[in-house]
Amino acid sequence: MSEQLKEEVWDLERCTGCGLCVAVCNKGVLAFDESVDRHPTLKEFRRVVGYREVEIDPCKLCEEPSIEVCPRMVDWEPEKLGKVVSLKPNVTDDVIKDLLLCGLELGAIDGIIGVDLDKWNKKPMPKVFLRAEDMKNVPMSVPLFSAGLKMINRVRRRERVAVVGPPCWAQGLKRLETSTMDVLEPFQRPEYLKISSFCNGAFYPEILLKIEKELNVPLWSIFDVQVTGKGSELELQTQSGKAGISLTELAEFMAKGCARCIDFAGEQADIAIGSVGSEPGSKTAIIRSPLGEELVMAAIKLNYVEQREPTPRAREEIRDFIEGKKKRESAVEVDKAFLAVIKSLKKPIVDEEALKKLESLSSLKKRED
Amino acid sequence: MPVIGSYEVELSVRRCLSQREPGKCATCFEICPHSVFALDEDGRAYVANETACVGCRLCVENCPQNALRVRATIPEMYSRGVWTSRVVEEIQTKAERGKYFVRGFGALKPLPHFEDFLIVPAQLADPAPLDKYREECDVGVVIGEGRVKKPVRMELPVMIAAMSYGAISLPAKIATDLAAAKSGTLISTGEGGSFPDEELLVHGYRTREDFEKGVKTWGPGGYLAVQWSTGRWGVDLNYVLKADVIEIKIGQGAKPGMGGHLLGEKVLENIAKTRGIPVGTDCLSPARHMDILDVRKHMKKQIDALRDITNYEKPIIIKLGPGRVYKDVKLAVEVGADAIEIDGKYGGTGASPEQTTQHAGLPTIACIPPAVKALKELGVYHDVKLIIMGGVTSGADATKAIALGADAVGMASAIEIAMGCHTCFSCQTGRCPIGITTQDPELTARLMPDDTAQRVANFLAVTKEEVRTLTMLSGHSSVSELSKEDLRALTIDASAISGVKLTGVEEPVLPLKMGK
Repeated sequence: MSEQLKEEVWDLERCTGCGLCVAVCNKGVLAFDESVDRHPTLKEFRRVVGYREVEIDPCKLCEEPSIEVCPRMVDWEPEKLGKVVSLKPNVTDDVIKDLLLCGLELGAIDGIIGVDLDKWNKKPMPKVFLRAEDMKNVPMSVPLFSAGLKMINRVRRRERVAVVGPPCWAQGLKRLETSTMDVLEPFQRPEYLKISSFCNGAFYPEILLKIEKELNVPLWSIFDVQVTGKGSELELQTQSGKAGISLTELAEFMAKGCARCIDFAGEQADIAIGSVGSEPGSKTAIIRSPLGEELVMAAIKLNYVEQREPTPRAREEIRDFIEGKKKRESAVEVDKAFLAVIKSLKKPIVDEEALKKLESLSSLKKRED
Repeated sequence: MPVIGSYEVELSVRRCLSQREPGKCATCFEICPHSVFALDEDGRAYVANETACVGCRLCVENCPQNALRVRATIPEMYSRGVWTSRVVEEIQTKAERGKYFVRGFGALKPLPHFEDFLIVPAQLADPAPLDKYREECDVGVVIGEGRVKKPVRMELPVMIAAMSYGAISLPAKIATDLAAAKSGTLISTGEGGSFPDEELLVHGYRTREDFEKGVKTWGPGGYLAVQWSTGRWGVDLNYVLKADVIEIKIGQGAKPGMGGHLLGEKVLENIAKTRGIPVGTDCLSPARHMDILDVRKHMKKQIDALRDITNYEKPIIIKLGPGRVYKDVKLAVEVGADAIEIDGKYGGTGASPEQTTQHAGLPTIACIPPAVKALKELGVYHDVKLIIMGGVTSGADATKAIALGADAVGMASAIEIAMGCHTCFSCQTGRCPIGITTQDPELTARLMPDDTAQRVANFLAVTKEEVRTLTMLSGHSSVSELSKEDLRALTIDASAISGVKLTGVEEPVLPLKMGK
């Protein structure tokens, strides 16, 4: 029953907003408008049947794949930092796009899920790209709250699909790939090439209104939004040039679910890409799987991207960022304690796990004092 | 054993999730116990075995996308016996809510009705038909002639029956008042009291000054009957004096033996003032007159008192529900009524328990013969007028009721429909989308009293014309000449109930034996 999602994810504000649960919902009863809501909702519970108002529980007859794939339902173990390379784009101005173009050209991928910005109001719009020319002027990966994995419904008949998004998308897809549930089979047909951007948290789309007001930049003129290499500024590329705004001013727009995430460098992704540890103009890529390595090497060989030396302190810089995001672990611990309490309230037998969590919580608090 | 093909199952491909995204959902496939649905190789659900459907509608209820419809192709009584979906739904509702179902409108089930009769046209044999275009026909009815000082002279044998202010909105009330003025007929206030100067509107005057000058704005002017109901809402001296007729309500067709029921949400300031009760309280009138213990003594005394107050000028009507009609009518005549209204089973209501509406009372046509018999036995037939209500839909119904023995008919549901009601059966919610049975200012603003009054007046004019036409083609120059001989029953039931000759046989099915 989606009560579990509601209690353990939505109500605790842990939702990443990836939209995977909406896509795989077997009864089509989850709805999510990410520009308004902070998490999906169950569409209708009560239905008028004749004179009656009947409580319909669509989840009663369902294996609930939505819970199975939610990236927030498991604790992710930290992964090792893989091979680190620095790449400079040769075709477009973006490494990710160049890699995707190479993949399309070679036939290694036959579909891409990414995030575009609406032409006028610049709300994030997840899309499926099938051809190279579709990707023109598309920022591909913006640090905005968007339910891009809703799109996997549209690529069920493809062979290999690249998904460009934040690390939580990669986590969700990882859960999808490793699931043994029957009803998820249609989604497991394509192989997903998970490309993650380095992520310190996504922002709610309202941030653009704030930016428009603060920087006096008209919304329509923005065509890309990125976090800078130092991780201190949100950088806008507009028709009239670049503009930046300090991240500390934007803290209130950080998605609530991101405060519980400690994955900076896309640990479940095939390739993680970001500007940390590279010269301006190039990007750092962390390759974590043979599939990712194949694509990057092919792109280098075919001259889509140029391999550069990463800066001498690249690995340390990335580690610093990873450690920085690890500080959110205490929030994760609080959540775990909450969950344990909820679970133990449901079955009122003394739950040792819950007690442990509570103890660890109190010790954490002491440490902070 | 389900009958093959008794249900039709429709799956909307546009809505169905498994059709749009194969492999998903298939709730219908999982839940159907008769394998009506199947999945194709991609996992799309489709209707594979429609003939196996027994009409349980589990799939319809559980389909998360609302993509399914199940329709009965033959009347459900053949495929489901008494367990029709209506019965199942009613039981389920009771089980879920734990309270009985209240709804507006009247009985919704087939009962013997005026439809079961036809009017016999005159041909060669006496009487000869009259010519509608060149000859006269009297369709008026006079109540209280020779009994009171100011009898009521209705211009058509149709009155507007009781709909209380409170159950219907003020604009709707004004509209019916004006319609009565325009058509020159009687209108009852219902049990909700009367708003100030209502009698002026009914008599056709726009304002009090107009009345003093004697300038009528609307038509010939109608008559106002005020209801002396069990609840006595808004009853005072002025209320009695402003009336042309006093109507003592004993019961009504939709819920005979029960008092009225106005939900607290509808009791707004004006209604509370008119009824003389606090704002927002449930207005529940008693099932009987609590001050009348012995009908012969106390009711007689009460009627005499009313006559004293009104100076023996105003006719007094007793309104009865469909009960032991023969005895009730005899008692009513005994206590001194000038006219008797009987409201049959198709009579409407604003809110009434479903079971009462459906199962208590007698069909309208079954109330007429015993009443006529009682009046005849007391020797006051046509002297004490008999007004029949409940399911009178047209001039033809009115003519048939009069031929069966009534003197006039009352209409209320038909008047509501003339006002614009679309019979959505939601009077009890107080959210009438037309603005009739509601007190919500936004909704009542939708009803324009002037236009609506004209609609009702038009309807009454057509009804009058219909009565006139049908009376004349059966060879009579007055509605009072109509008799059972001018009718033929189409069904054995109708003939047996009324003693009217069965078509073809030209004899009543059973001799009428009553009052034994």
